[in-house]
Amino acid sequence: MENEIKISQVNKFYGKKHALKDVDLVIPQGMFGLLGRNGAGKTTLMKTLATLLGKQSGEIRVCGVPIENAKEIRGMIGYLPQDFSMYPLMTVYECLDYLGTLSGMAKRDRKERIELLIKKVNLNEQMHTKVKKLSGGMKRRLGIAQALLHDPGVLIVDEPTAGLDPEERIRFRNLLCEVAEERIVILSTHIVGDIEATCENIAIMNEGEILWRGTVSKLLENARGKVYTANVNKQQLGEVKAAYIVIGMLKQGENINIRFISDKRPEKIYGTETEPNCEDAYMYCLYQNGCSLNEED
Amino acid sequence: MLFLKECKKTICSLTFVLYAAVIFAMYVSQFATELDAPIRRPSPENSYYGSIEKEVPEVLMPAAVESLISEYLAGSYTAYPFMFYKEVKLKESDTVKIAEIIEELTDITKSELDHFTEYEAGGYYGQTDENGNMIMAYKDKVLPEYHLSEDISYEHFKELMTQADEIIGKGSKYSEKYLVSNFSTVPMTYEDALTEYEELMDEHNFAKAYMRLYCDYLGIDLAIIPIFVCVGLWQMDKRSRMEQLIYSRKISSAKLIITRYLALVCCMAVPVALTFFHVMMGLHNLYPEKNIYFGEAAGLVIMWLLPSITIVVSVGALISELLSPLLAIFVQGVWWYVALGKNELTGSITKYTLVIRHNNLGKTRLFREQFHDFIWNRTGYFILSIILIGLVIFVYEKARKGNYDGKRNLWKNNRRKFKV
Repeated sequence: MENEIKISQVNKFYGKKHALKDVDLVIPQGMFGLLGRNGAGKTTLMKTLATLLGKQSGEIRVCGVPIENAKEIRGMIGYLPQDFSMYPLMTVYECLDYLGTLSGMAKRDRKERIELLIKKVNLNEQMHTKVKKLSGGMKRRLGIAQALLHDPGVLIVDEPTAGLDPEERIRFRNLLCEVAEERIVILSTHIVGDIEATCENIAIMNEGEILWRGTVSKLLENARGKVYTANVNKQQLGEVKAAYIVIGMLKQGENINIRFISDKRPEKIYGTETEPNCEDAYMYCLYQNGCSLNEED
Repeated sequence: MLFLKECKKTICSLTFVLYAAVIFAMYVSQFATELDAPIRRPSPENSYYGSIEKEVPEVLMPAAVESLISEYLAGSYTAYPFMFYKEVKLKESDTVKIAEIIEELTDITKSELDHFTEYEAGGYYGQTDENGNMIMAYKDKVLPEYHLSEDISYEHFKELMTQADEIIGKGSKYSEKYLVSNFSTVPMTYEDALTEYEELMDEHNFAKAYMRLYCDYLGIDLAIIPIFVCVGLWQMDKRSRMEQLIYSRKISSAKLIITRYLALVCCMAVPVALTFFHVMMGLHNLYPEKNIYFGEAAGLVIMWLLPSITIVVSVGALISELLSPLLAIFVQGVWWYVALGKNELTGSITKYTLVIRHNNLGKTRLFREQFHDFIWNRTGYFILSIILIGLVIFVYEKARKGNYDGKRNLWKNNRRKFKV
């Protein structure tokens, strides 16, 4: 059986809005990051892969199975949506048991998997706690547990770290990396740090289009020689902002240390070329593709 | 097993607890007193055997005319459109028409009526006795002297009453539907009472007679209250933000919806079953010498009440899934109100009415006469419930694949725009 997701020429409309524009992607086994601004079309693509939205044209095959075979696909994927919760009055165990039943799992398998996953996501002590008493981070971990319950070959997680504190975010990212060893994990996010820390392969989306597909190192390579730093005073700052895309500012006494993007060596100020990080590379990719990056936007 | 999990979800919901409480409260307050004492065989020595509604023109005509004159003089007419009391004031032209009807029925003219100033409505009123205590006293009606026309046939009288009903508005005392029950109640004879008693106490009938009255009371509640439980549970996934987790599961929409539906219906049948067993035990204690045909009684209850639950749950599920839960409650509320208002307390079983009424332990013969319509009605609603639940599965499957762009999504999108 193929162990990849093939998306070819997929289009999706919400009324007149073109939400996915000729999306072409191949998602191999391991962690795959889908990066983009809010409203870029990431959730639409995730929902389409999870069979929760239809497409108007194109083809999607999940491990060789056409997306139209919804029942089969649903047995193969685990989905953690962006905005979710569970029945507040049920306990963690009851919720997982209920969802396991909906996945068609036998009672014995459910018991084994729930106990295993609860340990894996570190919710042992909360096994009999009602969902309404869980913290945001615990709910996210419970979300991962429910998505992995039927041991799917594909895990789709949409904006999983939004709203988590830094410690929970790191714990959550590590958990995703762990489960990605044996399956396809698609992580959709607008937080570049999450992608940088976990994914080798990524795609960048904007306004329903795929702007970039490839490895993180190639994305960094693409931005090499395009990122500069400079020390400017307050009077110069406005001028620099008008001429370049400023992506970082750090106040240092009277001066401000700025980080900005430029296709060629800057002429208006003295800038030092610097090694791009993932965030710089992402911003450069958006800039390169003509996306509006002005502060007002 | 999913069915048991759905049952647990239902039983643990607040709306179900309230539903059960209402069913028990209605049972205790409306029906349970029927089990306090057995029905005794009438004795020929009794002076009174109760009354019976019987179409006796000699009784009916004078009573109806007296009522019409009294209401004319009072200037207001009583009507029960949709079973609720309404005081009707007529405009001058309609008052003239009523006076013309009275003139045709009696020897009293409009002018005589209008000049009669001593009118008193009569009835009970409060007054103070010599010790200063408040007591209830009765005063007779004071009406002008009149005589019924002798050459009025009963058929023509009924036509005039229909005209009066049309002038006053639907549900007046003079409508053909209410004429007998309002004006022709006559004392039962010993023979009437004995026939009624023997029909009632027939071995195969007496438990069913109690069950008819029991179903009459519970049928009213079951045609409306299940909507709240259904809508509450149908919205639970959305309220708990669990919809997408469930949509993305392997289970088929048909299996999920049918299981949820069966769980809802079975759970809602539990309080009914408990009260049914209570009735059965009560009858056993009241009539220890009689055989109680449990199966026949249970069959009647299932036939009567189950379609009420299934149709309400189906309508609730479909409208909630298709449009909105509040609309489901509104639609069911209106349907219930109209259905209840259209029915008499006893003896108006039709093929289409949602709420079947038989508010009487007796009148066995009447129920038997209408049994064909009863079966048609209940079977029809049960089949309709199944069809509607098929539609729910269709809509759910569409929504699950994001292909349903009906009002629900429209509303959702508008709300999102509003939020932005």
